[in-house]
Amino acid sequence: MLAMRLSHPYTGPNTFPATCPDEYLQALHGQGFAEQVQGEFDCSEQTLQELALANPVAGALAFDALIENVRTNLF
Amino acid sequence: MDVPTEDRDKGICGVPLANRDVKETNKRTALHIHGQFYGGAQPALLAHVAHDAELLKDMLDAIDTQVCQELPLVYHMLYAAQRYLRVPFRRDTTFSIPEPPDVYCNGNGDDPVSVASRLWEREYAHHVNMIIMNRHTHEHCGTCLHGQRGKTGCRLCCPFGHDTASTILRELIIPAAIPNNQQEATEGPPAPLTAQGNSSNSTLKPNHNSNEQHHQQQQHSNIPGLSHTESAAEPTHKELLVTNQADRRKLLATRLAAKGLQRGLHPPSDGRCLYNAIVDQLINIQRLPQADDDVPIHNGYQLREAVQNWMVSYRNTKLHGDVTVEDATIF
Repeated sequence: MLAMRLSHPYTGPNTFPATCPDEYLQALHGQGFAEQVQGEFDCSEQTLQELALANPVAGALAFDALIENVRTNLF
Repeated sequence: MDVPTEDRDKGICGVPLANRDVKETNKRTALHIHGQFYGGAQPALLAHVAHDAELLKDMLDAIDTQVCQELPLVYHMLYAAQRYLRVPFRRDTTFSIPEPPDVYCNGNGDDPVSVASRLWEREYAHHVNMIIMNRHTHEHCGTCLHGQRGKTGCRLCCPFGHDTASTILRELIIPAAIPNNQQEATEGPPAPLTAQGNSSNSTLKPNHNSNEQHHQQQQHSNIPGLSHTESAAEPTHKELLVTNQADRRKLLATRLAAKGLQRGLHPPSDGRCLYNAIVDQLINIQRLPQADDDVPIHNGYQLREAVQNWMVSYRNTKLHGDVTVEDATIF
């Protein structure tokens, strides 16, 4: 989820991706295509795969944050 | 780690002394790390205490507080049910980790703090089990056989053996095409196909003038998953090959249909088995209307939630009935 937010440009402190609207979470939790497209948020599998492919740095940053979190708080 | 050892906080593996790792990506560019961690029950320490039963018990008890390789039975069944009903797995990473209460108490008391703590523990355990069920249930696949370790078993160290009856490519040949002096030899484990799909046995020379064999070829060509291929070296040589993954699935379905079974899970024949009851209940869930607006459960998300809630309610139910070794393969 962090990687997806980092893949979008900053538009303001009270809007996505700085915040996570409920509509966005519902689209992420959706099981089928109809549930994965909520309003302006398209979280279908194809869109997410394309997003990850186009933003490898976002994925690397999110993974690094995850690993550091594990090292700091678990180990 | 620039903090002195004596000032470091104890983690899930004891007091950390050092660690090193490297980040990598695999063929599908998924990031992961390989590393070593030093701390707590190191192999040298385990070796020193292994001969002392009391020390060994203390050590193993300490490890057991942090490591568990078991999953409750209901989650195994939920996983099987999801596959049986073709319900998509949830996106676990998008679900937040349940947060503990502000004040945590590890006890069995009836005070609000203890009750809230126990509720959080149940919620957290369910969250963890769901992730393990969805993401860490191993099923043997092609990658298990890669590399040196894959030659002797699953390279991912999953202990149960490969299902040789349904997951290994087999060379399928027309029985009548086998010379009499080779039939006995081919009744054992068949030779695997090469990467190009060519037969490893090049000595088979079917007699295409035989009407009987032609009839048998016609019969085999109607079986899904089987295809005739022309060999470049022997233009008249026809073989029955399982050509790809999709054909293998069709072939498996055909074989199961011949046995009177459906593709997917095979419920135990024992009608008293809890598994049968769960499958029956799943079918009822599909048919039941929702209580609030009388709209039938129609999508995978609602069905998964209903199945999940129902199965978790059977968390402590003991599996009864006679489950044979053959039945156990459903999991």
